[in-house]
Amino acid sequence: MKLSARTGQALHEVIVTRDDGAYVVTLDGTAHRVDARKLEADFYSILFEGRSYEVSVEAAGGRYVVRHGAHQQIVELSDPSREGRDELHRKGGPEEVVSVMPGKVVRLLVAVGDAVQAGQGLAVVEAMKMENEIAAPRAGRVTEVAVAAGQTVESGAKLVVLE
Amino acid sequence: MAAPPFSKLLVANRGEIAVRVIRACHEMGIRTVAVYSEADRDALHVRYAHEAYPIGPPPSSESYLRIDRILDAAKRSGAEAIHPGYGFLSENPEFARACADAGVTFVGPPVSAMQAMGDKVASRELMTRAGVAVVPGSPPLADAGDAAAHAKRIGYPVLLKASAGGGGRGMRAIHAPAELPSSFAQAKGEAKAAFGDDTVFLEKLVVRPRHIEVQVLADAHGRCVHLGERECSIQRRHQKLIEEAPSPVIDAAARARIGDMAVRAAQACGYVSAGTVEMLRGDDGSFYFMEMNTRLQVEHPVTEMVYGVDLVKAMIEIAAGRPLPWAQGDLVPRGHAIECRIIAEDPERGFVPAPGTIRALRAPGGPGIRWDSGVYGGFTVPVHYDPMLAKLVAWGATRDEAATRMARALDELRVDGIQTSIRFHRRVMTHDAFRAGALHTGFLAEHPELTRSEDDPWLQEIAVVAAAVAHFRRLEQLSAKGGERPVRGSAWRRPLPGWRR
Repeated sequence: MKLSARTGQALHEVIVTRDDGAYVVTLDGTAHRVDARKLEADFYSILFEGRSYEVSVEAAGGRYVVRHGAHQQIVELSDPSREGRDELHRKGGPEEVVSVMPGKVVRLLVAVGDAVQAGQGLAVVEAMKMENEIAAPRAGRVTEVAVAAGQTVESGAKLVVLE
Repeated sequence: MAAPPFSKLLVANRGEIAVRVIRACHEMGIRTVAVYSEADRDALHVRYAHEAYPIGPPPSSESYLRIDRILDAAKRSGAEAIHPGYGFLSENPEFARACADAGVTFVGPPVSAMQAMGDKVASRELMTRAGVAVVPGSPPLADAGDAAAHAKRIGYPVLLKASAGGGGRGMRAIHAPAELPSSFAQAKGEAKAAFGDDTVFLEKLVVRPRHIEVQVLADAHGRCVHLGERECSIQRRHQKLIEEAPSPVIDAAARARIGDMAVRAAQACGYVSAGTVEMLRGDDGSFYFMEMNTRLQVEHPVTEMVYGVDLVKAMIEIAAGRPLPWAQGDLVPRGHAIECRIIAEDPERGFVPAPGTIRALRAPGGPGIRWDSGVYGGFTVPVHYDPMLAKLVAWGATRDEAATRMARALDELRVDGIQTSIRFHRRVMTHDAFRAGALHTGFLAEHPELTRSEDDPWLQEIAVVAAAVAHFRRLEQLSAKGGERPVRGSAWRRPLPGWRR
C-alpha cells in the first residue's frame, strides 16, 4: 500500500506491507520493520528501530491525530487506491453541528450546498463578549443551515447539518 | 471507627465534585444520593452513588438550580444532609434556608455568613472594621484637585475607575501626579459617553498581582483555623487553570500573617464550615482582601495534599456539629502540590469550548498523583455545563519535584476524541518563568507561546508510521468484513506471510 502523508509543510511517501505479523514501513525510501500492536481503544504499542513508543491514533477521514505523551502531531494521509480513497472519504450519516455555548449567531460562513473541509469555519457565535468560530468536525457538504445571522441560540442548538 | 455523622447524604451537584463528595461519604460510611439532569443519566456521579434521582431537563436552570426538585429528591430518599459542591446552589442563601425549613442539614456556612460575604460592598466594610486590608480607594471624586489629594493619600500608582463602569471604559492607570489632570478629564469624558454618568473614583493599582487565597475551617463551637494558602495566578478570563500550595513567595512568617487575616475575616462574619478568603498580592508584598468564597473550592485538593486533611470530610463533620480535632499548631504543611484543571477547551484557539465524546481515556497514576475525574472513556461531555473534565494533582517533596511529576503524569494522561488543555499544561510545567515561580494574573498574556499552536516536529517520523499502520489496518478490517470481494491494487492482495484471512 502506497500513501502520501503530510505533516505540516512536509510531504512524505510511505509504503506499508505486512511482514510475518509485523509491518514493513518504507518512509521516504528507507525501509523499517515496525512491530505495531493495537492494545486497547486507540492505543498502539510501536517498536520502531529498537525504540518503544506508545501512541494513540485518532482518525477522522484522512486526518490522523497521533498523540505521544502530551504531544501531538497531525498527519494528513492520501491513498490513491480506490478502496483507500473510498475509506478516507467514506460518508457517515448526516452530522449535526451544534453550538457549544449559548450566544448569538454573528455570521454564517457557509450556505446549503457548500463543500467544506474538516476544520473549516461554519458560523461565528458570540458568547461572553467573545466571537467563537464553530468549525466543521469533518469534511462534507452542507445540507441544512438551521439558524440565521442575529439569532440567539441555546447551548446545544443545531447550527448546520453536514452530509 | 467513629459512627457516621449522617446515615444518608444527597449531593446537589454533578461532575468531578459530585464524585469527590461521594468518595468522602463512602469512606465515612454514609449512603449517597445523586441527582441528575436528563443530560447526565450516564454521568459518573450517578454510577458511583447508592441512589439517583432525575431532577429535570439539561439546562441547569431547570435541574441543578431547581431547589424544589432537589429537596423533593432529598425527601424521597430520606437524605439527612445535602452537600452543594461548588457552583450551582452552593452560595445561594435561599437554598440553605430552604434546606433548614425542610429539616435537612445544609453542609456549608450559616445563611447570615453567606449573605454578609455575598454583598461586595458590605463585605468590604465588614473587613475594614475587622482590621483586614482591602484595596484602598476613594469616594466619588469632585474634581481634579480632590483626585490629587486622594491619590497622594492612597499612594501611586492608582487606577481611575467609572462608578457605573465595566469593560475597561472610563478606566485609567496613573503612575505620577503629573498625569492626573488630563487623565481625570479623559476618564470623566469616557464614563459620560459610555454610561451617561461621569462619576469616577480612585483605587490603588496593584501591580503584577498574584491571586493568593487562604483556606479556613471553622466549627460551630467557635474554633477557626487556617490551612495556609494556595496560589492561583495562572488564569484565563478570570478563571483559574493551575493552582498550587504553598505559594512560591510565601514563607512561614507571611503564612502566619495572612492566615491570621483570613481567620479574622471568617470570624467577623460568624463563619462555620470550609471557606476561602481570596486576596491580591502586589509585587511590593502588600496583601488586600478581595472576597470570601463561602463554599468548597475547585482547587481544594492541593491544600489536602500538603496538610494531609480531608476538607470534604471535615465539612461534613462540622455540619453534624462535631468539633474540629485540630488546633492551629497541629497544622503544618509538608511538601508541595500542583493542580491542573483538565478542561474540554482548545487553548490554542482562545480556549473555545470543545465538548464531544471521549473516545479513549487513560488516567495517570503512580507516586504522588491524584486524579479527581467526572468522566470516563466513552462518555459524551454535555454542552450544558462547565467544561472541566477532571483535576490532575501532583504532590512532591519540593516544588520542582511536584512540577516534574506533573509533567510525567500529563505524559501518561490521554484523552482522545475531544480537544483538551493537556498540551498547554505540559508546556507550563517546563516553562522557565513557571519554574522560577514568577507568577501573576497576567501570566498567560505575558507568555503567548504557551497557547500557540504548533506541531511537535520530533514526533513526525513516528506519527507518520503510526498513521500509516493504522490506515493499513483499517483497510484490512474493511476487506475482512467485506468478505470475498477481492481488494484490487492493494498491497495485501498477494498472500502475505502471517496474514490469515
